[in-house]
Amino acid sequence: MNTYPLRGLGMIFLTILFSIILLIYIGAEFSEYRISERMKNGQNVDLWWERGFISVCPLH
Amino acid sequence: MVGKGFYFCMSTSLVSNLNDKYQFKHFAWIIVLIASIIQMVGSTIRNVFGVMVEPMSETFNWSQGEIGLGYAIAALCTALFSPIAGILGDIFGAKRTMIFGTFLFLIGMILTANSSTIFEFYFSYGIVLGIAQSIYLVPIVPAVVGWFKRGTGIGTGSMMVAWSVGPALSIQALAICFENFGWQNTFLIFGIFGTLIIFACLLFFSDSPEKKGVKPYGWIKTDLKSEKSSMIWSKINQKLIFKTDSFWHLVNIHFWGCVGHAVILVAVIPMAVNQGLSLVQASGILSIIAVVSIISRFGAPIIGDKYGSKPIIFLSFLGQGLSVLILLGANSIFDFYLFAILFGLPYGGEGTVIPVINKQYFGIFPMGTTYGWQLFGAGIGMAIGGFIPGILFDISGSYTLAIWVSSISSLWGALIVLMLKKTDNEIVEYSPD
Repeated sequence: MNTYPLRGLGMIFLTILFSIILLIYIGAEFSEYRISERMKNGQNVDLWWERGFISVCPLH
Repeated sequence: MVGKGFYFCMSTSLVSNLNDKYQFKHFAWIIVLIASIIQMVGSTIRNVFGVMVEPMSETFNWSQGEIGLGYAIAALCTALFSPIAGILGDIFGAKRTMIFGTFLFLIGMILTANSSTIFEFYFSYGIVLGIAQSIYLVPIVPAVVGWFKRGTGIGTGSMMVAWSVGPALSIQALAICFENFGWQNTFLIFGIFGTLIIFACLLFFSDSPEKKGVKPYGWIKTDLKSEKSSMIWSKINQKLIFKTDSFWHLVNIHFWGCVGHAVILVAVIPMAVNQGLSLVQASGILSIIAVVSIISRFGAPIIGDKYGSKPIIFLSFLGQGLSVLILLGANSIFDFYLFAILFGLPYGGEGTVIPVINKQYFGIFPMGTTYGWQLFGAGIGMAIGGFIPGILFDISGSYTLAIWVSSISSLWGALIVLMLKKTDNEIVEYSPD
């Protein structure tokens, strides 16, 4: 028995970190897709959360 | 005549042998039956959703996305309230907690039937019924486990079958009611009848063998007379459980397992329809998964109880992660049905061994809080896994990415299972206070 569950909490931390990274990446990808779809229809407005995802994600 | 007599004797001796082995007259089986009925009625909350989208959309002109958000709120509320439901079950007992849950269920069903704005619907279906469902799901399972000194696997396995049978029965009943009485009246009928059934069940329910004044199932004379079937819940001892790696691993495992199958359960029908299957043929995939999973829901806890839960959970995660890869090349009805069989088995066994492993690790300490946290992980996983396929399909135009997300989630879960301790001995030494 541990005095502190380092391994268990470490894996939980990895799960949360991985989920946030995935959320940001998918969010940015989805935002880019939505913006480009609207551009095709001649609409130039993008939403705050779309801009947020794209600015936070280093790959977009 | 001789033949009939022979068969009669054979069947009588078979029943007698089975009765000796499984003690069918033991009150623990009544508890398992009550738990199964409660879980079936409780599962109505989720199952009703697929049937009510269309009629609600017609009545109020709400979009499918707006109604879908109600489902997401309910799933999230169930997940967030699960640890609290577990603590309530440990402190006040499963019976009292479920009486409270039944009132919530009735109020939620009546309010949903009378909803006329989308926010009323979010409150009544999303929040009230979402919380009611967590109360039906969490405290009852540890209570059932507490009734078994031995044979925990067969007890929980029998109860877990209700998770498959319940939806199959309630969806049909709901569809018939929706057609004949309309969705508002259906909610009222199910709310009132469901409440009456659960109250009737709770009249006979008892939280533990000690409260009932009987020995737990599987108790034998060589067991110490002073030995109790359960302990009293205390913060100090619960903290000792929180301090184990295995507790956190199990929450984590539940999360990844649920992401793994939620993606598939949501996406497999549109995936099959995209490959040219008719809607009826595609629906057959979910039916096969439901039927096949009954075998493993029943069998996995029994095997886990007898030979150790860790290998069973590992094989279930591995099987779930690898079987979804069939979908990458599936383009015929045979491929999809083969997938359904190969996926259904590990999917059914994946979560149902958890109450057994809890008992193997944490012994007779009340496990409502522990189980509640595990269902919290599961609920969050279901919510995330549920919305991933739609978004990935919109972005990429196919479900390939979603399949990989599902597979990697399950395989990652399998890797965490390997970090669990062996189940030979309890892993917590409780404080006598």
